[in-house]
Amino acid sequence: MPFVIGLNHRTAPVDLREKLAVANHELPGLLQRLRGESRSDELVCLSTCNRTEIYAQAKDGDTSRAAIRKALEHQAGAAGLDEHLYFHDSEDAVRHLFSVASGLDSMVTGEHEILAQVKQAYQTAQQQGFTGKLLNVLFQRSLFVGKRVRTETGLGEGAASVGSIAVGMAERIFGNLKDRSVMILGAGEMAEVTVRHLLAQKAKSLLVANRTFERACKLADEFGGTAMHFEEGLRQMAGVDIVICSTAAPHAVITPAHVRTVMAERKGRSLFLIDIAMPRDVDPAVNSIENVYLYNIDDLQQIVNENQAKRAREAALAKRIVEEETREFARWLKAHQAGLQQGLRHNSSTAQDPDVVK
Amino acid sequence: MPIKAAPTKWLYLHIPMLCLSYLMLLAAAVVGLVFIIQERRIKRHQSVAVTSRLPSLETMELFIYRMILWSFPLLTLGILLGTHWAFMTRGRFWEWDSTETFSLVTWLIYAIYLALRWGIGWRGRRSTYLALAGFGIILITLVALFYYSPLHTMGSMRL
Repeated sequence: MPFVIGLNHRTAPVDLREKLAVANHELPGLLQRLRGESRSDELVCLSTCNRTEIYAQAKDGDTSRAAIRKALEHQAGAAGLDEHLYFHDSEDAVRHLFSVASGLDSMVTGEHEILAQVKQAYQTAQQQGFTGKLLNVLFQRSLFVGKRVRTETGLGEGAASVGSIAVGMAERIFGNLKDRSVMILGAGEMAEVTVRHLLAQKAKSLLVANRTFERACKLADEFGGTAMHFEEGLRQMAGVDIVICSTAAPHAVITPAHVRTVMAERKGRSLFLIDIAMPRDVDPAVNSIENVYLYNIDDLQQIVNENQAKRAREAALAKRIVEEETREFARWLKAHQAGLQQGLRHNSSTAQDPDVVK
Repeated sequence: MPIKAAPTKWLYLHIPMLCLSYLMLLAAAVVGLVFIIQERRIKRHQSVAVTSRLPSLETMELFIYRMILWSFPLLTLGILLGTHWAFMTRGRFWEWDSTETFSLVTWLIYAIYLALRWGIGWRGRRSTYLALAGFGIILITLVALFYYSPLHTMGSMRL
């Protein structure tokens, strides 16, 4: 029966994961050592920044498992890894690998990088002759399951934070942001730092306008922009594409009349206003002006919530696929095991009914 | 229909030129529809605006503008060739038959689109509506061309 022993971002802190991370070129050496110590027939080691897992197949599972655990403890340089390690065997191990390959077990659910990492881990082990029939079929199947989840579900789609939604919307309006300029109006404490940060990172130029000039300078230094007085900022608004408002003003400082003047000066080119101040800086009526797009913090948060709900639905769908594939693989596994006991040979690509083999 | 003289060969460019400009304006109209949908989503803060893989508003807007910009000279020349053709065959440049009238309306709409854009920076939703209206008139022109126009003999192609 195949089993997996390992740890991931949920069970172990980063400093422990660091110690157990295995670089690609070290894999053959590690696998060689593990094979000697654990007497496993087949081995694959999957090591990324978020997980280190050993998949193995051995006649004497318990001995093999204990030996691998010891090797991991040795690598970590500390005993007592037990609370961080997890262990799954047979069907549970299959389910675990399929979940990993699908991105369900990733820190950022649905990310696609992991599938390439699983493939890499498998190929390394396979090329060095550490895999046999069982792990070959299992890993090839897991790559198939990962692809299936990617094509059949929307897992991993949709940004998940206020900042990334703001950037996403800006990109839906302007396309590439690298020749766009951004203005930060006000530097109130209520400001959502990620929004400013993300946009400042992507855009061409950044203006920071604030009532207190010193504070503007401080922010401008932090993000690499130009500082100016608040009124100057209002005057220069026609020259920027994205305005992030975060003043501490008790009432709206950007009125429809002002924005209309700005738009006339811009010759109708789109303007994206992000109002993250509380109370709001921009009169909501501004959104009805042609080619002006106004989002306040609630609008952005609303989209974040909707995306999260969608992600949860897609994750449920992905889990169903993993479950279905696990059951199917378990059937093959049973037939395969039965076949081994009988000393029969199977064609690796066909799943067989255990009853027939018996 | 009295034919005074057979048109010279280059007059036949009248048809392919207008066909080409109509094709480009069709492309502008299709992208225009998508633009209208996506613009509304963004304006109304719908989450689907972010997850969809559509091009950005500015990309679509620029495409529509370019299609109209490039097709406009073709449209103008095509119509002028048509008037010349009419003069060669019937002795008059313009007779206000339905195809001619709708062609003129089409030309005017796209001329207004370009003038407003260059002049006062009319762009976005309203100008895209104008582009859609222009293509609507083209569709009417084509219907008129095939069914109601006595001077454009396309009617005889009907089977």
